[in-house]
Amino acid sequence: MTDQPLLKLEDLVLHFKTTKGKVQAVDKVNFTLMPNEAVVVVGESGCGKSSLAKAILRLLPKNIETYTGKVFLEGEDIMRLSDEDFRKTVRWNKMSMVPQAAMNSLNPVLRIGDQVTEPYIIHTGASKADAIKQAKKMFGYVGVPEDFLNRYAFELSGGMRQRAAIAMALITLPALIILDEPTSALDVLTQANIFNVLKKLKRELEISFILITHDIATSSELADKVAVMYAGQIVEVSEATRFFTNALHPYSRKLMDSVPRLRGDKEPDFIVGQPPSLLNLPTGCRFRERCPSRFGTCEQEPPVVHHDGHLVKCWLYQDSKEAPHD
Amino acid sequence: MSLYFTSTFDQKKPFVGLSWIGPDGKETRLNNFEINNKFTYRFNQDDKVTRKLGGVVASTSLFSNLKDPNLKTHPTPVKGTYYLKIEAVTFDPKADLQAEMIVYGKLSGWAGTDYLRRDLGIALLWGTPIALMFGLLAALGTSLTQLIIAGIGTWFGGWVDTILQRITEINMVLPFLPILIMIGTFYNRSIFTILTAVILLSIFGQGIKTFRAVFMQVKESAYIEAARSYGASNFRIIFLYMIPRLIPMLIPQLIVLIPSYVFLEASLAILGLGDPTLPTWGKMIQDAESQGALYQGWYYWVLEPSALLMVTGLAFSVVGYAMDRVFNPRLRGQ
Repeated sequence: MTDQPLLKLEDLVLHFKTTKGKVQAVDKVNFTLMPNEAVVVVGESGCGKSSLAKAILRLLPKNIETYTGKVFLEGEDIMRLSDEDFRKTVRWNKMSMVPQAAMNSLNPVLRIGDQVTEPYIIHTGASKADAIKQAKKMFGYVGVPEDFLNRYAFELSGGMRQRAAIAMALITLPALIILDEPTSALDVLTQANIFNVLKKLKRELEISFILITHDIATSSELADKVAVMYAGQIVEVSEATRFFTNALHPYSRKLMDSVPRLRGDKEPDFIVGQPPSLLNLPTGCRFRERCPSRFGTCEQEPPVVHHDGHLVKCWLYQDSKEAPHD
Repeated sequence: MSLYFTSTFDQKKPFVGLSWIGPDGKETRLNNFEINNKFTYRFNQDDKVTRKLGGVVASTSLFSNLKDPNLKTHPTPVKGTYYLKIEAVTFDPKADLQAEMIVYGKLSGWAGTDYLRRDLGIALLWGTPIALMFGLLAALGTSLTQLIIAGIGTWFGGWVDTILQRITEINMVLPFLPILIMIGTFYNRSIFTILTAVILLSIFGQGIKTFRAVFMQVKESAYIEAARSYGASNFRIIFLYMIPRLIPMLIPQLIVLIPSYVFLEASLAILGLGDPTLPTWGKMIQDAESQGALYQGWYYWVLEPSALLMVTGLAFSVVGYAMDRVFNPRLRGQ
């Protein structure tokens, strides 16, 4: 592993303009990803996970209010690139994405083969025959039979389509793949299968992943690092093993408590209340209203502190070097 | 009955003699004359022949028994093979002579004739490819352009879409027929001018609105966003991802659209704005109208082109509805 991070976000901000006001989907996100590392981004629905993915890949809708910050990819600030340069040099050359609802991300009027080879042809200018060869190789990795290249999307099962979408993200062998809920709407067997595929890819092709998911339990299989997002901000980043045994942020802990355990009498917990609307965010700590351990200082914006190998944005760890007991 | 002669000669005119041979083999000498470069011999206007044939015009007497007492009142034609013998003398080595005979009838051909003794069948046949060509080109031209414009407008959105939509709305309230009449009156009536004008005026029409509504839906599909994420260019997305989705909707619509342009061309021709150099169905109806065909009882002259127009419209509609069922399986089985 080199010391240079593969991806580094500095104060990345993405605000949308709506008729109701400003939606702070991604608000000052700082985050580092090393090569061949898999990070899992977890959080409730509507906390800005998918927007973060879109902000990194600059897949923006029209109603942007603010889109600032720095995104360093292999040391280069890709926020400075023009849209056209970004499209040509970054997308799929250096990072690709398996979009949310990837099952529906295949063009219904093209054959899978035509569709999967498209990014490869667009970005490398390869011939159709070479692209098909490459696609067959990728299909081998993700475990899709080669003759599916001649089929249409509707002829494939959900799991197969998902794999085809992953093969499409892989085809140019980018350094980073962003997977936006790759296993939602799939049965557990297929989910496990896909995670095995991702693990294999990470091992064999040394690709980094940003995996966006709700499913903390399954994603623990793959994760090197976990980032917890709440109301547009990352509230905790830590090594996966540390996170799963000892989450620090009150929100992360609540999130972990909500995961059902196979053994033990502990009932899955839930968090009281609703996440704040991204339209109208409270000042200070955004989790304050629902936090079991809140105190007076929480009215102010919490600092991001290093604590016990975690990066955590909470007043609880302001001075203390020890995990608190509650 | 007329004979049309054309001849080439240096100085002395060729000399021609005509004889008529009836089915009984009896030969009647008709007339002898000199031929100019162009010369028309009209049998019925030749008084010498009329006198020779018992005072009855050649077109009747030549085909009757001259001894028939009812020749002047109720002539009976004698059936059989008739010959016209043309003997010619030329005086130059290079001289040449052509003769062409035309026998007019009261009614001839399967479709009848018009006031200039022209066969309506030919006009009907000639009109068919013109009508179909006009309908097909106009329908294809407008639909495809509309599809592309709607796709571009929807994809880029923003001011591009706004401008395209305003142009469409303005164009939709402009009166269509008067503009075409103006072009036909002041500019040019060639069928291609009219075709171009029709296509240009129809492009920014209802179709753009319809296609746009569907494109709005297609644009939000997951696979379009996926295409964007892997760096497909704007035009690749429009032409490879969005437009093919609308082809099933386009084809039935296109087919139903064809006869409407066929009718439009016919309407323009009936108004006297058809291409004067081409026989079209609309032009036949216009001729019939200007000659008072219905008043005179020549119904066939109006009914034939009208029937063809109707059959064309019906045929395309039926095909269009059948296609609609093929492309929209939801319409089946109800």
